Amino acid sequence: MNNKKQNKKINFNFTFYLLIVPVLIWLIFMIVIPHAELLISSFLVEDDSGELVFSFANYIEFFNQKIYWLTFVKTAAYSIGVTLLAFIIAFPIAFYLTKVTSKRNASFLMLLLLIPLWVGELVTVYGWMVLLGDHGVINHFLMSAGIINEPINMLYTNFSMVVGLLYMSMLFMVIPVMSTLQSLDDSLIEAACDLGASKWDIFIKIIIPYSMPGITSGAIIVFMLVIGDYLAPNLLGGKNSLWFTEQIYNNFLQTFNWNEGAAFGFLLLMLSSAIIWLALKLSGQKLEKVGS
Amino acid sequence: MGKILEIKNLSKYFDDFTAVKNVDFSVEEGGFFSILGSSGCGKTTLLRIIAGFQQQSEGEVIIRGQSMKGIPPEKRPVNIVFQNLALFPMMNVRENVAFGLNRIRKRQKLKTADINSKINEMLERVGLNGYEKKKVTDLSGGQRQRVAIARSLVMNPSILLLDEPLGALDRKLREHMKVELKLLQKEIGTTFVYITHDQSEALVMSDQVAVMHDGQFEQIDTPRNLYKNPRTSFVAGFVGDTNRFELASTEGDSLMTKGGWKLSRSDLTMTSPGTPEVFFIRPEALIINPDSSMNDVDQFEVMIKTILFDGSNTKLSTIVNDSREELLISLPQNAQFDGIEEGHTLNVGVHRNDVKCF
Repeated sequence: MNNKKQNKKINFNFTFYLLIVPVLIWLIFMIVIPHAELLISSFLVEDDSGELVFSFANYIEFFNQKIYWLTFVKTAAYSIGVTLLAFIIAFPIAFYLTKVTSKRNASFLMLLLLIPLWVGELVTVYGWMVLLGDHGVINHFLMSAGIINEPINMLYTNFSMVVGLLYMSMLFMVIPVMSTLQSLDDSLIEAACDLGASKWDIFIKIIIPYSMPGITSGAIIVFMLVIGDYLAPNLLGGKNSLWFTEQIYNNFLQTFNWNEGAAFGFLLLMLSSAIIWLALKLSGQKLEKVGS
Repeated sequence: MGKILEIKNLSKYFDDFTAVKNVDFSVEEGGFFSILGSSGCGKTTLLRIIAGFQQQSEGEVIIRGQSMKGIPPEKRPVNIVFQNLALFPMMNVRENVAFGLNRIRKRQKLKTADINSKINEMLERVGLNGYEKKKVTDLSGGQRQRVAIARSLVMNPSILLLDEPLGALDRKLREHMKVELKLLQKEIGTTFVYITHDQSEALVMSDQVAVMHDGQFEQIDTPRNLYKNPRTSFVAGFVGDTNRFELASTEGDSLMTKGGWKLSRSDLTMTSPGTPEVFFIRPEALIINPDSSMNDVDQFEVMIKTILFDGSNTKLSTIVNDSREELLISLPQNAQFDGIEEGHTLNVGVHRNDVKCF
């Protein structure tokens, strides 16, 4: 009897470690160590003799150069803007898929929405370049229809960059919003209607507050994807896009100033965390609730 | 008191079936009207048509003399308490109750002070004062029930529609809420239209009950009449516990049930002319050891199979002698019948008026 009991205990421990070890390995080697390494190197600069010494110079450099923090502010502002746009576009889609159309239609349309994810971001970005270019599909149509005489400059502008960012991130807003809307009982809408609410009232007072957890988690994912994206700003936004990830990229791979790149990376991490924290505070949502 | 709600020849067809068929009734102002039927009989559809969530195929809904044709649910003078209550989970108790008044405040030019006093009065009436700031998800079943009723009643509707609101409660609480709801209705005087599949709810609370079956009303009557004088075999079998006997042969004056119980035609009082097909006897209508001098009481012998003890609801399961027919007899729990045991033969009687045949 006693023996059996002990065996069971050992088995339990073994399973426990079996499950926890991969997680720990992942956390330590993929997240903790690289970040610690980056954090340390962000505080190091080469002195005159080429030795690495502790200094705040990398961070001071960021505040001294106007172009750096201008890029920083622009990236933050555009990311917030794209997140808002993603919500405006994604919410009606999510509502249509969960509450309006039939289940069969919804799963078919969902499949269509997923297609861009299958081909990868690079391919979709090149797709948009084909569409938006001066000799691209849209300009060609507009010109042959006689609506315009000169091609409209769309590619390599902030417009094309926002389009690309929206396209690659929008779905990550649709899915969490859909899952909260699915649990919204239709009788809540009917009850509101019965109590004299207009369509607008129902939307603002019932549907939006109810789906707030889904909206918040969707917004966090979209915001993180957008603020840390490199391909769309670089390829669609062109030389003037001034996305902060490009500054980091330049530091690492063009000027080979890894220490400053690390400092910029940390600044971006702090910026996005600060904005998400602020957004959660303002919307009155809790991270635990959003995550579930 | 006038008629507050009139339903005229209402029908609702769906693609392949008829949910509501030629329903015709009216409700007195201040009354408690119940629609009783098993699930799928069309009662929910009927209620949703009155509320305006569904459109009738034919017929008319008239509230206070005004036809409701083309009037959307938010403009109708009715409010509904939903089966699952449909409380707004992101709002607290007060916000739930205030929701409707805040929607109509512009239309009716309500002042904030008026709204607040109305809400306070209603919360007090349903016994929820002190719970204003609680989240509805933290309330018990009975409290949630009260929030739902308060949220609708605060709108001061001409008619309050209730869609099986007690269905989700446990038995004890349901018994309690039944009485509470009836008292509340008496107190405020709002007309209630209540739909349920639970006959006890309908019988205890209502002034009038309509029994609905396959989209049609079988009988509209007071609870007492419905129980005492059912007009159709469906009502007789549906309302209350009863023993049902099908007649196999009806030659001349002697009748025989499918289970071989022989009776004479004079035993049955006919509610409808013609040949009877089926008759009903309620368990509590059977008299154990009747006095032989009683008039109009038919007597016969039964054999006690088992005693189904259920407190005040205890019944004897018996077989009618010389047949295979089973008969349930109510057994009052008093000293007179203490000696009754399984396997005994028992003399029972039934008054002719208590045998209902169709």
